[in-house]
Amino acid sequence: MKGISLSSVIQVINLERQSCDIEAQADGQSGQLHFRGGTLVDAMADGLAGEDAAYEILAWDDPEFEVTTEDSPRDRTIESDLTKMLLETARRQDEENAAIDRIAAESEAETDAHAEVTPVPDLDAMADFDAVPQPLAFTPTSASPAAAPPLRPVSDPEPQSTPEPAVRLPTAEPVGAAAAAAAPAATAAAVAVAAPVPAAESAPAPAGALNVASLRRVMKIAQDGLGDALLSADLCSSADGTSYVGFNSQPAGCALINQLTERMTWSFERGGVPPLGRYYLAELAGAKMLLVAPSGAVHLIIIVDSTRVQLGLLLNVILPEVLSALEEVSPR
Amino acid sequence: MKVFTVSGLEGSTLCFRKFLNAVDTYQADVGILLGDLTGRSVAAVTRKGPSSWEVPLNGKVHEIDSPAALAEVTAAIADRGDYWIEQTPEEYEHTRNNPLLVDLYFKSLVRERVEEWLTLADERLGSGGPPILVAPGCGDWTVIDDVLEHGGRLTPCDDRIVDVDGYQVVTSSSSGPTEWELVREMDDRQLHGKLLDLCSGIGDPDYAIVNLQADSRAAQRIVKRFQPIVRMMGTTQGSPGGASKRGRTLELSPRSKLVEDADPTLYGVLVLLENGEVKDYVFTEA
Repeated sequence: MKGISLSSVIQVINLERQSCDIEAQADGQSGQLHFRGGTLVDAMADGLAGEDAAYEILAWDDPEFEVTTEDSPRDRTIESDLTKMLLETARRQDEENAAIDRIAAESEAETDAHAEVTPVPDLDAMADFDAVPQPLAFTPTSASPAAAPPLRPVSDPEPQSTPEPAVRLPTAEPVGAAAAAAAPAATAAAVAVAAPVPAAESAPAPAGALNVASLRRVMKIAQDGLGDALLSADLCSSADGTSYVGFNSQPAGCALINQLTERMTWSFERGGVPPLGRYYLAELAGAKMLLVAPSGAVHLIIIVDSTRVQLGLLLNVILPEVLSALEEVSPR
Repeated sequence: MKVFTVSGLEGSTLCFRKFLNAVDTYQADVGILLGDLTGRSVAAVTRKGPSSWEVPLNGKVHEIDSPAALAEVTAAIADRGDYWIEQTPEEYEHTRNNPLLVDLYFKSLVRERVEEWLTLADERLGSGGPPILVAPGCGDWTVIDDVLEHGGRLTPCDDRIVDVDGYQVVTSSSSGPTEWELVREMDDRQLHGKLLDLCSGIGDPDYAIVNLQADSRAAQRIVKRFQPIVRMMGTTQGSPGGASKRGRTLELSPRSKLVEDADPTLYGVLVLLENGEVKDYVFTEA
């Protein structure tokens, strides 16, 4: 069914005190909402139940759904008021959109600023770039292990305390509002951590000599290896998630995933579990997979179509080659 | 003060856009949008295949074979004031045989259209420009009321008095008994009591504009008692509208759009008030 939004239907059910069950689907996910006398009493969605499931479903973008009228009794697992939940969902979405807009604007401003002060570099000229070490701004995650790196509300960005790099690396892809769509939401169904390394080694390397030509080589290896399975890829700053080189670049996704990686590193450290290794994987909705490989000052963030590449091939053949090239450019 | 009033858009998005433009074009000091705001029918768009649909429009079933063509047809449906829902033949049968679902979907569509209008008004008008007041009509379901109450750029004015440039605008969507058994109708005595309470807030009747629904004994008694300078009246579908005097009160009723009009006309009335007198008025068509 199309042409009618789930949100409107839910609000009318609530206002009219109807008893219905709703089966909703979006991007390969499915869930149910159960209303009795207009009150949302129960929900289930992909392993979640109750309020968490309801928030999950309410956040889905344009889901397909089917309503059945149902009046049989049902245990109540949700106590929150539906209106408050809808407002909270809207608030979260506004916050997310504001973050995406902000990051896109920042990326665009950086691109514009770069265009104003620096001629567009050609690849030949970049060969000399190696000669000048470029200090990169980054926040060593091991510097203050007692303090959690805050998961910053996207509308309230943490002030950037680290100095800006003297010269910004140019981005390979134009980064603008059009490229600012956020990365698909992870279902967190699977997170794999590979090859743990000692904590001391996991800290970003000191500022080294990076150059775009080298980063582009890493990107090309990834593109060649993954072919049309590669949906997007970014080599971005571990300090703030700014994309240096990208393919179908996801600037907003980079910034947010960068925060997630930072938080994950801290959580592992505080939680007494082995530190993050060379990469982690997350299964995304819609048969997609997120792969993040932090390597010193640079993070590799890629999204692949998991129907077009075998996991074994990805993990055992393509990824080692890409990581090896990445670690040459930016040691862990 | 120049007051531009329209009523009976009956769900037409095209008329709503015309209204937003007209307030500016006529250089009105205030725009008043009265009900009925909502449409009367839902077109069942049947999905026959991945890129083929059947759409009933203007008494015929149209075969549609591209998403672009579908978007065009559904926009035309919204412009004339109807709603649409896309379903498979099975979903359609399931809905058709369940009156509760028909009611639920219809009301959801009605609510959604009003939300779209408010968003459109916010985008088009921004924060500047004259105030625009909005109230439902007696034929509008109450599921739109909370949407209108958070109207953003539009100011809800139902069952209250709103001050605009020294004039009091008094509005009620309630009506007396009708043959359609509308949700906002009540018996004459009850309505009289309600309107009496509301209108007791009128200060100087020379500076009072009263918006009451189609004629009822209660409304007539209220007008006779308070003698506001102008009374705006809603009209029934397709009625010609017009002007009349009740005591010193000028009663004006703009025409309402015709249901069958595929390219609906926006009918309104522009009233010029000066120092508590009606200097002029003109009925408008756009």
